[in-house]
Amino acid sequence: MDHLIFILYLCIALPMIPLIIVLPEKKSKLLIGYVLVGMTICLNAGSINAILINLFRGDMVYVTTTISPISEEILKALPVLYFALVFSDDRDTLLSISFADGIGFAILENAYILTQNIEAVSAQWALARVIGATLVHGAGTAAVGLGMSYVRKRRKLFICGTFALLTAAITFHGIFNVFIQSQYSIVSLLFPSLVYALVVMAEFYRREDQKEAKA
Amino acid sequence: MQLYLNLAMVVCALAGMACGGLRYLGPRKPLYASMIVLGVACIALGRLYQCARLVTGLDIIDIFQLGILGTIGAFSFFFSSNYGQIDSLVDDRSTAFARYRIIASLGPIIIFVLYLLTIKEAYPSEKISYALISASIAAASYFHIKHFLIPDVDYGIVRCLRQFNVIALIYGILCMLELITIEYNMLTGEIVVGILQCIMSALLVPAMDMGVKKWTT
Repeated sequence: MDHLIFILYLCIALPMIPLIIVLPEKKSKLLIGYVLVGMTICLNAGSINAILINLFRGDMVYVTTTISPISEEILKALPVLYFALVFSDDRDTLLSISFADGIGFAILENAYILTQNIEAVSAQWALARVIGATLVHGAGTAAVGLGMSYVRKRRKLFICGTFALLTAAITFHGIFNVFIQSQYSIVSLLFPSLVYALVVMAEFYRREDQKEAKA
Repeated sequence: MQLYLNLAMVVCALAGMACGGLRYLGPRKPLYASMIVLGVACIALGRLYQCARLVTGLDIIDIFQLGILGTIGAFSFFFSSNYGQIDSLVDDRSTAFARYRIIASLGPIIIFVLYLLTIKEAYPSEKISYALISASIAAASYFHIKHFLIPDVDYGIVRCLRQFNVIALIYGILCMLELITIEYNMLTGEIVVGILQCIMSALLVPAMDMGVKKWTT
């Protein structure tokens, strides 16, 4: 049972490798690749969280509401930073891959938590985890990815702005983790959904505006 | 009391954002303004985290907790907007502006003195939290003071943003005073500072909005 997360990783993540090879489009390969990267990070975050729980004398609630949002958001941001520094700082590409990175992380995390609470899971639990956790991880990493799009254009903005966005993502993640473990778990479903709806609306208006500008 | 104060701050920060701030998150808007709005959103997020902890029966004092990241994120955005977007327009690093840079250094010094007062009675974990908060406020305060004083003869942009910079500076000092009142168990002081923080957090975006409208029209 100790290596359950690793077995889950093998079952869920590995089938994606042939898919990446087969897919003809570069964009699709990149997206699926970053979902895979997100899952790999989740696998490592699990080990880091175990160390942190030991470090904080087994205080699971404190670690999950305060420490793990920091470690997880930083870990998820690293592959996006690598992509921005080495390949491209294109805003749309960074937003897509960072969101994929977050979603990949959430998929493996959800699967692992499901196996740990198999007796207590319900449809409400699944909805809260699937919608809430997926949006928290996806939107949080996408926010950090947005800051990284300034890595080459404006170095001053990139450093301070990305740090500020990272703090926002960590706090957002922290709020979700506090509510999901409490009797107010419904808030953990509504809160990220509301934020996600606002982000989608803003992105929709931005694309419409781009179309108008081109026309 | 802490729950009500934090809840009031969430409401005030969101109300401030709603007063003209949300449109700055749309396309082709000044990045400076977008960052200020995101900074105020960070204040709301940080306070919401503290509300969440209090509602679910968790502590927010005597420990390191993520609520402080709201304040740190907000002042990082304020710092980033002033340093990354505006500062190079008003200060060419010449000796003519040296005195403004020297006077602006008073901001970080004042924040450092207030930090020393907070750590007198604090636990080690609190000292780290307070140091992080103080560092972000100190960095931002330098530019708030500098952009309040500097003449800006070429563009006139920072002149329009003086009100915002004063309010942000006051908000930063109030955040430091909040830590002091918590450390010394001054309940009345905590309430007064909390109410003032509510007012300032509600005024941040409207003040910036007024300034941006002046410079863009």
